[in-house]
Amino acid sequence: MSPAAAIVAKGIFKQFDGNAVLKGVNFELAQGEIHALVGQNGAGKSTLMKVLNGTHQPDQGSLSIFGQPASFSSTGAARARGIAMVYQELSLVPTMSVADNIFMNNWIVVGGLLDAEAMRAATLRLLEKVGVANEISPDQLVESLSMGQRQLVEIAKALSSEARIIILDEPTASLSDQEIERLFVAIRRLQSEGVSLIYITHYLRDIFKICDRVSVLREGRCVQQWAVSETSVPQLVAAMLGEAVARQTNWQRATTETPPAATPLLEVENLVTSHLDEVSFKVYPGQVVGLAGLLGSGRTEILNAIFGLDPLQSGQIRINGRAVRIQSPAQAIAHGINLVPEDRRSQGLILDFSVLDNLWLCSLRQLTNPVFIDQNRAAEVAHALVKRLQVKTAGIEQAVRYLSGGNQQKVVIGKCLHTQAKILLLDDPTFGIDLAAKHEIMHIVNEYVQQGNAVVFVSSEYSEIASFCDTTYIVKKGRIAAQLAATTEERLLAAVQ
Amino acid sequence: MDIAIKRTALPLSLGQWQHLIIYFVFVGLFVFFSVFLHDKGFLEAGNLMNIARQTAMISIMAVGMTFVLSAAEIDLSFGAVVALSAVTVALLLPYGIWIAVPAALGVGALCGLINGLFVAKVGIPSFLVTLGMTGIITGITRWVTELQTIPVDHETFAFIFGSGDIGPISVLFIWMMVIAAGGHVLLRKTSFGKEVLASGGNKISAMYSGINVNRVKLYVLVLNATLAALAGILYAGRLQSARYTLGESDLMMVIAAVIIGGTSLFGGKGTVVGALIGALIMGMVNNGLVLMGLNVDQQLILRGIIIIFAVTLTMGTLRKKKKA
Repeated sequence: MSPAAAIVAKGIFKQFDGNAVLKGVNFELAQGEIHALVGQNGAGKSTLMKVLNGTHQPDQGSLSIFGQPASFSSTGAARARGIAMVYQELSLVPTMSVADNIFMNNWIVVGGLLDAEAMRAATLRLLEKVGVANEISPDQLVESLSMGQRQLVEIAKALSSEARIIILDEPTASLSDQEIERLFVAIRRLQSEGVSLIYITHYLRDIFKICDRVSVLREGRCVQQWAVSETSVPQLVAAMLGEAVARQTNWQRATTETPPAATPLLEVENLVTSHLDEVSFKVYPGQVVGLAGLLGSGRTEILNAIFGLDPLQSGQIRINGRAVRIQSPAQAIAHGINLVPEDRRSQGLILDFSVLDNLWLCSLRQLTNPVFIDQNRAAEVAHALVKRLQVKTAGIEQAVRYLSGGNQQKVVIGKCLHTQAKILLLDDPTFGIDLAAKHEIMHIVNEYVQQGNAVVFVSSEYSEIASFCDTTYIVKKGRIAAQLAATTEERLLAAVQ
Repeated sequence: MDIAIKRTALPLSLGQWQHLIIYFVFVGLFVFFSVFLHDKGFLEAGNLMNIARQTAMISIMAVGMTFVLSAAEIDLSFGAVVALSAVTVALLLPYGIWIAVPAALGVGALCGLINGLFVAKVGIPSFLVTLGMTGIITGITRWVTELQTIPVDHETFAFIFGSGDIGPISVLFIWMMVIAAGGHVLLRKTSFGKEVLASGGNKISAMYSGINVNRVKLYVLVLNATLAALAGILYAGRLQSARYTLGESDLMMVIAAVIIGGTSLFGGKGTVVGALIGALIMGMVNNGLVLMGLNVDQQLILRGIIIIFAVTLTMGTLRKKKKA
């Protein structure tokens, strides 16, 4: 028999306030393997990982680590047994050096004072293990590193506690393709040194590049386990969705023919900002224009320029053929443009505000009845929006902090629709939300466009752009590199590289 | 059928209990003093009105500070504004009440405007700007008065702004209630109030929503300094004199009142009613400690302990919630 498995979890149950999140999960991680864990949002992935790393204690079930039974009272206890987790939101302090960050929790101390030299040397060894010793210095401040480099430092940090099992939570979510390749190289190096890894991801294609086995979680149970060589993306999707297989990632929106004589609702001409170079495109009423590009290509910056967040150095924005000057979001909103920003939690919402207060945030002045807010009308409008967008909430007085990602995003969209915007800029509106909510959101956007409005759509999922947009511009290094009419996911993937 | 905002009759959550704790503390302290200081006359109408009189200025400043903290800013200079405004009104009263009072309010608003412009246009943290302004304003006040007390000899002024009673009710109490009610309505019922809370809750989201965050910051700092100037005028009316030391010791009391009331030090959450209750608690404690016969040193120590205790009670549950 091969050596004892790195982790064996049997019949793990975990509930929060009477809500069962894990309903008897069985999971096994073999020594030295890279094991992918997939599932929709809410399937229980993060809860399972938090049980494995000691953040949560299971209500029932048993754990054994390298053949020894284990029960962790804290993350410290799990770390002592060699389990480390690299979180999606990185836990590094940007203003401190790489070495300081790596030894944040276990400083090397001699006679009560920090031994900087020893930590430097140890950091260098760890960076070597990850394969980046020649490009990242232990003395460098973390804020000077790219997202990909930070991810690798985070892994080095996990190694500093002698981790033999590393859990990676969505490690590629904010990395460019080149950075992802580098990460994979580092992961393989660790594997060759006998480290076992759990790899959580939404990007199913990555699994086939790097993982040995894959487990699918659905509704708190582990429903399938395959060797990667024996499965395929459609099979994984089917297992993740269960009954909901019918909902594939094809939105089948009827594309709109551009009436030749019509005035574009939005036209940008030769936009130049500190990030953009001569960007031009047109959006006609009833049209969805896609901007496809890698992270950092300038796709977000185009939206920011239109929304008045980045000052224009030259170029023009025309609405309905009329040139407008937009220098702040307030002016953009006044001109009928609104933005659903990239990061709903930090840019789109005020988390401690209620659904109601968030919904009217953009249109406070419209609801002000000479002096006072018209509370009844505001509530009426909010109820109507919540119903129209099917926001799942305990009520409009609920703080948005407690809504799920998809419902939070619906509130952001509702907030923008409420301003009577004619032009909606969507920056990756379906990022990190589950399939059902994605469909609902795309449905809302489609309805909005059919009323003769215009949408500029940025997405990190090319299948979405391919099947949803009437025309797509490829963005590279702050320029428009190409325009594609009808397209497919594969062609887009090739075009943006 | 019209749709009204109805709160469902769910059992109170932890967060809601936390908002109510302040009222329990208020009632608890009131009962405590009523029982133990009964023979010292705590419950007598005269003494209760005394508490209101002593609390009025703190409450009015607390209303302004609620807006500043809700917008995630701070103003350390309002104590200095109190003195400058009191001195201004006292010096200008010989030229008439209609010149002196607007001038004093104007001086306060001007201080707030300078604070606000540096914060909003130059982008310096309000902590530093108002710290610097404290020195400048205090310096001016000391210079103008040559460290002398300026007497106020104007009966109408003194009556309206501090010393008068209408029936059994002190005018100070009326000022306090009017300002608190106005502040409550401004924060809860107008779009400006929502913009203040939004700017403090998440500056970026507020800006993306089309709110001019810098203008909001400017306005709250002007509002706060103007209310501090009003407090200075009331001090001048009540004491019938003005001195450069006025307002010096109010910083701790005002910030403590606002925080105890449930306004977040980090912005986004604010309550004027809470601040009023917080100020009344502070006033009640002061009064109670004096009636107990404690000397000033002992009062200071006990007051500090009570402030920390009350803040722990109101903020303790908040921390637990954040952790979860």
